[in-house]
Amino acid sequence: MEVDKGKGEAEETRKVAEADRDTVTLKSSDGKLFEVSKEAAARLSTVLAGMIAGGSIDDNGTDLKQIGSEALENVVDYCNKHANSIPSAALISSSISFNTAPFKEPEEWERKFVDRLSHDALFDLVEAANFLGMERLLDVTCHKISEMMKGKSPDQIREVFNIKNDYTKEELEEIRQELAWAFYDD
Amino acid sequence: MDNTGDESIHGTSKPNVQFQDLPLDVLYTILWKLPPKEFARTSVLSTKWRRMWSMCPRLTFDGVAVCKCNRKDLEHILSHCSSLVWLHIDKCNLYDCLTVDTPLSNLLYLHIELCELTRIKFHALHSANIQFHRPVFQRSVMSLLNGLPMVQNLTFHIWWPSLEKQWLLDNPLKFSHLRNLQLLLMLRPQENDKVLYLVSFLRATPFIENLEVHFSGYALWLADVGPRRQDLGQWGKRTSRINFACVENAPALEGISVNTKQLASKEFWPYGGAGPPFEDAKRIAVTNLSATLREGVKLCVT
Repeated sequence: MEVDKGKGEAEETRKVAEADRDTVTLKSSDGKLFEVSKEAAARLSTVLAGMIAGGSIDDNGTDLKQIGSEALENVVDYCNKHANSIPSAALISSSISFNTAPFKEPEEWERKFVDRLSHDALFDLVEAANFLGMERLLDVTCHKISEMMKGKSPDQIREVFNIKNDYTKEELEEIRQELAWAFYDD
Repeated sequence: MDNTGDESIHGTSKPNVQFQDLPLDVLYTILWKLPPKEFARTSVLSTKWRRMWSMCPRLTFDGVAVCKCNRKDLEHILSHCSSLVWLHIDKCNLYDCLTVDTPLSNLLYLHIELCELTRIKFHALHSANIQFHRPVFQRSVMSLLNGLPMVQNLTFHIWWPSLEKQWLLDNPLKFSHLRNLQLLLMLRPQENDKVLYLVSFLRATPFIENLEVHFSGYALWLADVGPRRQDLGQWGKRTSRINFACVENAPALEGISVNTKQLASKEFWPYGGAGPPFEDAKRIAVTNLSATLREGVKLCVT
């Protein structure tokens, strides 16, 4: 089992002196332990980078009470995959600018990574990425959700995302008139 | 989810998140990736969604990475999104002009790139990063002065401009709020002899504090090919000095640092080879600037 392996590795690594460790151990809300490359965690998550720099990483497993084990497993999986992939040009901002880098399209492996997730797992992962300040993972997961919305009618979107239509007919008509340009193709 | 049976595998201590329970900024990150029309149509989903799209603080229109969008849709969207703080438009073919008449009074960052744009009009803007493609230089400067009178930080990136052989000395318009300017110029060799006329632009920035100029070639940097140096009168015999003439009458200038190394070298010196004559550049910068700057202004040449 992937999870148990994570646990075993965590125990193994705890014996190694702190300075030599190149991984950190994270603990999900339900108490499961996961091992992640320190370099990847610091590079991909502003929150983890801050914790590592500030020395608030717990060798026995840093508590992430807001994140369930399934989402955390995906986060760790993403970090480890990312650590193995060649640093992509997409993530290195070369532009000289006062502003931050714009959105870059997901790469093939990132697409595959989010495509295999269920709706629930995807939303949980979005929330975890947001909580951990993982800008790239957040972008990739949000991109997936927007792909799921694209080209769909409002009815279809409501159905897929479980949104209850609480408008009256008159209200809907009013919006359609107000935003007529958006409801007709050129 | 039933997780009583196999806690070790599936146990999650909290219920799954629903789409509309996601934090608002996450919802926005999802929404702006939709095509413009679909983005606005989210208002019919439910009452919670009615005004959500139009309150979006940050928008990116990227013609390739996100979706195609035309100028009309873009202008429609921008006329509704009055809370916009950050706007990035990239690779959308806007055919020359973008006008936003509704005041975007919160807009702080504007970045426009590869949009075949030569004219622009925005209200109340503090920072802008604008890329113009093949503009006629002084006309595009006038358009910027007209369209972004309040801008404080400007990155102005100009690809292959046509430079005019005329001074813009009587230009009454000023970027009187401009503090930080990055000017990035990709010039054609045949424009070399007109490069000195660029100074017209810098004359419109009386309160400049930081100025960064990147040229595409060292011939331009040294500017020793200008046939018109006799026109420059009191500005000196070495034409390179004209590059710095703008700082002479800049009362707010605190310091100037000239880095003759290849900053942004990949973008602005893609040709390889021996590269620019850094030592010459350094010498010219020191000689001319130390004579030009008023007392108290820090000068650093590296």
